[in-house]
Amino acid sequence: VWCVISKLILIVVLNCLLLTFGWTLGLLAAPTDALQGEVYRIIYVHVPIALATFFVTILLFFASIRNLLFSKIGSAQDNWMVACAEVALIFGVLLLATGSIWGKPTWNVWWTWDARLTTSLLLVLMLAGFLILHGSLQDLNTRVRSCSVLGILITLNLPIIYQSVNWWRTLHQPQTLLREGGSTMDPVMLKVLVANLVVVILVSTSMVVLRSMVLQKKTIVHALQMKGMHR
Amino acid sequence: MSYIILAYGITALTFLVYFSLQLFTWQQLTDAERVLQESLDAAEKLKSSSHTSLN
Repeated sequence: VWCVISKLILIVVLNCLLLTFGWTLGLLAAPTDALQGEVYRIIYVHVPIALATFFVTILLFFASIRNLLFSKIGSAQDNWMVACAEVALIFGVLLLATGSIWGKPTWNVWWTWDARLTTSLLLVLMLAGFLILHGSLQDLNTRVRSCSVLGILITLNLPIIYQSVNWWRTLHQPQTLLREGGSTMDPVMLKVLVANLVVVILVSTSMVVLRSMVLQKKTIVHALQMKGMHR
Repeated sequence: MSYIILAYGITALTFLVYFSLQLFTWQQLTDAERVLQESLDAAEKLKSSSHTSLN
């Protein structure tokens, strides 16, 4: 038991070190932006968090597909799917929060009903809806099937969020990295951003794995409780 | 500068709270699992010993 706990603590410490490394680069190594000044450094948390939201929601999509197609009735497991939804929700809320904090000094508003912001808010609400649905259904098989369908539907929102800055005239800036003709960012800024993107992908993966392990343990404890009660 | 501190601060705090909560929950569940397993084993032992004495 202590071996597992020490491994988990090691994972958490490694994640903290990775984040410290990425953010130190963002705050100290990257040059100041000519237009926005220092406040642009929020990009090193906001954009990686946006990528993590997408990444974990895509994981939710694959977990939903797997549950819908391959899980057997009576032995369905939804821990991985729930872990993905919870972590995606956390990143989604952080995405809105950091975007709002960046929006105030640059757009002079905390919030506006811009296409990118509204579709991102929709994603957060859908993820919250997923968890509410999951919590409200008692029967395991119904829960797994219903949540899997919703998990797939939620993912359909991702291309809309991604393309929202191209499809509608919007206040939000267009894509920074993946644009026609390549990125126009300063090479140092770009390297620091890519480093932070890699860091946050590793951190978000750890968060999902850790959460699914905790949920798995919860299932085991619940099964033991049931076994004790039926004796 | 205050906006930068706010954005990084909220994110750092969220990660910190999340990881601490997961580790704490894991520890609690591990303890609960051990206690439950021990009581089930003890009940099983008691049951088998009472059967033996009756026989």
